[in-house]
Amino acid sequence: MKAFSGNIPDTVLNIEGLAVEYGTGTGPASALVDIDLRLDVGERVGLVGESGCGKSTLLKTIMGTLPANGAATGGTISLCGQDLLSLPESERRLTRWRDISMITQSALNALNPVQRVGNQVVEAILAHESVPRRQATERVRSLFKIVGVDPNRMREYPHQFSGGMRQRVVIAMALALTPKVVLADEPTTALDVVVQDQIFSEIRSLQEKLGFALVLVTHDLSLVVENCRRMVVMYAGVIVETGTTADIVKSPMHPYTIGLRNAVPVLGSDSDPIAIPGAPPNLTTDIPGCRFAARCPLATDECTAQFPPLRPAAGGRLVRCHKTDETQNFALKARDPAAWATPCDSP
Amino acid sequence: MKSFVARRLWHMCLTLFVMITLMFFLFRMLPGDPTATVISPALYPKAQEALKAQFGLDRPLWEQYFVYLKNLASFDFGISFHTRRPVADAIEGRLLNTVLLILPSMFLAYVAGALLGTIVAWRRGSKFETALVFAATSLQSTPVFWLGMLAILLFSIRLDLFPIGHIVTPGLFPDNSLKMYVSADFLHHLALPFLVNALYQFCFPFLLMRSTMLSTIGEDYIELARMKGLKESRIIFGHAMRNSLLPLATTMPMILGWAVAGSVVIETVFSWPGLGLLMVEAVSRSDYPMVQATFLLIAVLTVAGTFIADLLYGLLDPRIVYE
Amino acid sequence: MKLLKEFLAIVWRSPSGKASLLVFGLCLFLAAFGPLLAPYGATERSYDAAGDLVRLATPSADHWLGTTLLGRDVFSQILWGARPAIIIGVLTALGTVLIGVNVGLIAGYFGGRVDSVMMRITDIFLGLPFLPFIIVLLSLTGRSIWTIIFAMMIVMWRSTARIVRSQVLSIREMQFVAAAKSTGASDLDVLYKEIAPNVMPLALIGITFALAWSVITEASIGFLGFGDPDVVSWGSIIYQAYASQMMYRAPWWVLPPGIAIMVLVTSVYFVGRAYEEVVNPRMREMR
Repeated sequence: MKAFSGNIPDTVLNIEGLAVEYGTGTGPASALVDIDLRLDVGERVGLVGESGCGKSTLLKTIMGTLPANGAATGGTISLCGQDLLSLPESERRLTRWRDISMITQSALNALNPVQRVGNQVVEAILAHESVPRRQATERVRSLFKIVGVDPNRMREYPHQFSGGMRQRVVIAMALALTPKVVLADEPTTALDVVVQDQIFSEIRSLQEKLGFALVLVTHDLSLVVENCRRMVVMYAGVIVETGTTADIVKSPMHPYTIGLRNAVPVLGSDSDPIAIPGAPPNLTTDIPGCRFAARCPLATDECTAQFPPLRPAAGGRLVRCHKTDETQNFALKARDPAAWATPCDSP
Repeated sequence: MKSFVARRLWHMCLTLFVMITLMFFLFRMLPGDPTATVISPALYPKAQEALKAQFGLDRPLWEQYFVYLKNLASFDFGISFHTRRPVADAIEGRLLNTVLLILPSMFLAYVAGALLGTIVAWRRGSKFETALVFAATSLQSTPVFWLGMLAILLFSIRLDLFPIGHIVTPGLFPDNSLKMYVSADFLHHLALPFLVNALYQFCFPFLLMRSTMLSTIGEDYIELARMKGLKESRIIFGHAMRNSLLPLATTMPMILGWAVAGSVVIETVFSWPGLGLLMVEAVSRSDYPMVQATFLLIAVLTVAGTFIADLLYGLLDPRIVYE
Repeated sequence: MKLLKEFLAIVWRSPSGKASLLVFGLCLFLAAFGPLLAPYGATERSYDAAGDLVRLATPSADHWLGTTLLGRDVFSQILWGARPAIIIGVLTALGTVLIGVNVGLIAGYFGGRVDSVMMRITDIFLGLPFLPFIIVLLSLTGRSIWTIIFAMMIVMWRSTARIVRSQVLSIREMQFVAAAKSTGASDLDVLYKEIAPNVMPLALIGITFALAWSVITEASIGFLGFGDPDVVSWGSIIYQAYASQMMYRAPWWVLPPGIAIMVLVTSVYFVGRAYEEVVNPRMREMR
């Protein structure tokens, strides 16, 4: 496939200061604020957060398929130096899938139930390249082989496939145009653990072979630990912490990341996983300060009043917290649910 | 597939059999002289007696029932009270007239309904959509015979574009030959009832298609199609429309049944010599043999329509496996 | 009552639902007081100063919508006609849904042979040609408001039964049903106290559609000449106009009853749809 100069890391996707708003019945909701994300060629980055933290919105914004009531209100998304947000829709459509493709969540609904699976991949090729249908079909056959699906099943319908096989079809579809970036949105949520592992090792080996950059979006921290060198943690529409996966998991610096880590069951540990009390804030209300403040036991007046910037920390990390001095200490006792009592809880 | 067809055919026969039985006993169990449904009370008493013996009406009811079934099997529907001629003769041709009026207009209604429903869902939120949805709902709420009367008033009386009712100009084809159906005169007569029925029948598939499309557009695979960089037209017509046709297909048998049954009304307004009109006339004349026969044929059309629509549905949805 | 209140609240929230509810309310008002407001009797004939019948008069101050061939005031007939339309529509809708819901509940809950027999019967009714069957029935039972209601009910329950049944099939598997059973509740208790309340939204939707459909059907029956001869209904006004062969000369005679039907039925449809749009997604979630 495509050759690239693999020695020098080269930025393929660069998002800077991205903000997205949704119009709702009760006023605009700021779904994403100040998103910075850099992706190097051939890199695997994990994007972690609870459902509703803006992961899906971010992906839709990158793909350019936000619903009619949503729009990017600031920032840039540049792909190899070209800003996607300023492209007219007709050109934008052509860059979709060709440069950035996606492995979607729940392949059950991602495939059209009344069309043959092969055709659904073929049409992606035909939408971008003026090649004869036969040639496109031939390519899909070889793609199917690559992802481990019998090419003779191209004429079957989605319901005839198992969940894992369907997911492989979706992966084949994502690779059809040899994109530079593949976004994987909870690619294995609906699958059992064994199949999940198969799919991930498949994705990893394909990624190493084809050299695309991969963004793995998930709420499951352990998947990121297994698959990604670098990770980004999102909460309520903002990035709260980024850095190498090893660093962040070893010593998380944002209280939310600490909570997230504690929510993962640890093999061999006698302490039960605990969830962070409370729920993410309603984004239609104006939050001047830190978006995590309402659930944060360390929150002070400063936190509720001032939106913290993403500050550099040791090891090339970035953390969006006013209280980074105290978090190391907090991380030690955070296994105790009592530690999560917020100032507002106490009388 | 084969066994599915066989099973549906068997259900179809069962349904028809129950209806035949129901009609037979309905007409004979009612108060009054039960023989009045077979022998016209208008005849002289002596003639009535003679006929009773001839038809075996002095025999027990269940025996008569089997005789009736046997006659039906050889398409013998009895003698009309009104014309005193075999019912089968009067029915000949009527069936075709009804089918020629109903089926093509239903076809047009469904094609137009599916297309316009799709387009309107695509342009959702527009004034065009609101107006069309309101118009279709109001149209659906009007009695079709009244629409027919308005059409005659406007297009036949005021504008003099179409003839008022009938299937051809009376006297033009005295022998009722099949030549009639290929004449321009026939098409001229067909146009208005055809259009009125099509317009009326259009509303249901249109509204259903629109609402199904609106929910289909929110499906994941539509979003994926958009992400794949497909053209909007391809997403709408290639992906969304194809899926939204399914509910349209499921409801088609019911609607087809209504349309056939509704022929009694539309044929009456346009004096269209089909089964429906024949039946209405027969009921008002208490011509019971004729009523039974026409009802039965309308039921056959209805049930056969259901059967065909069921098969069509399987062609549209690959998930359906005929067992 | 609580259900009705919720129904009205949901419909009231949508603009089209609100407008339709007002229109339907007007129809109810006319059904109640139309005859009192009507300037003439339903079949009263008008004579002019010279003692001649006022035949086919165009609309005027005396006769807002003109007169019929027999000198009857069309406007008054429209007012009189609201009552049978509403009575027939509402009673038929209630009866239809009552039968349909019960058949659907029993078939869906007990399943097995009960279900297959009841659904076979429903299928046979679905194959019954709608209007022709009603006409045959009316020709045998005689023509009155009550036989019309009865005839329509007999053929209309079938669709409600099917919809309710499929909903019951999924509700049956839900936890609260098992919980009720484990406390020793009888089948009837489970069916009518636990399951039935959950299909009520479907029943309400069914009522609106049956109401709309029965008003149109009643008009069609009237138009075909099988209506109650003693009652002036909107359908029978059109029938009179049609039968007199004068309809194409007197649009004022034909237009108003058709428009009245259209307005009533449209309002009912929109009320039903406003409710359906809110309730349907909820019902789907239960599946």
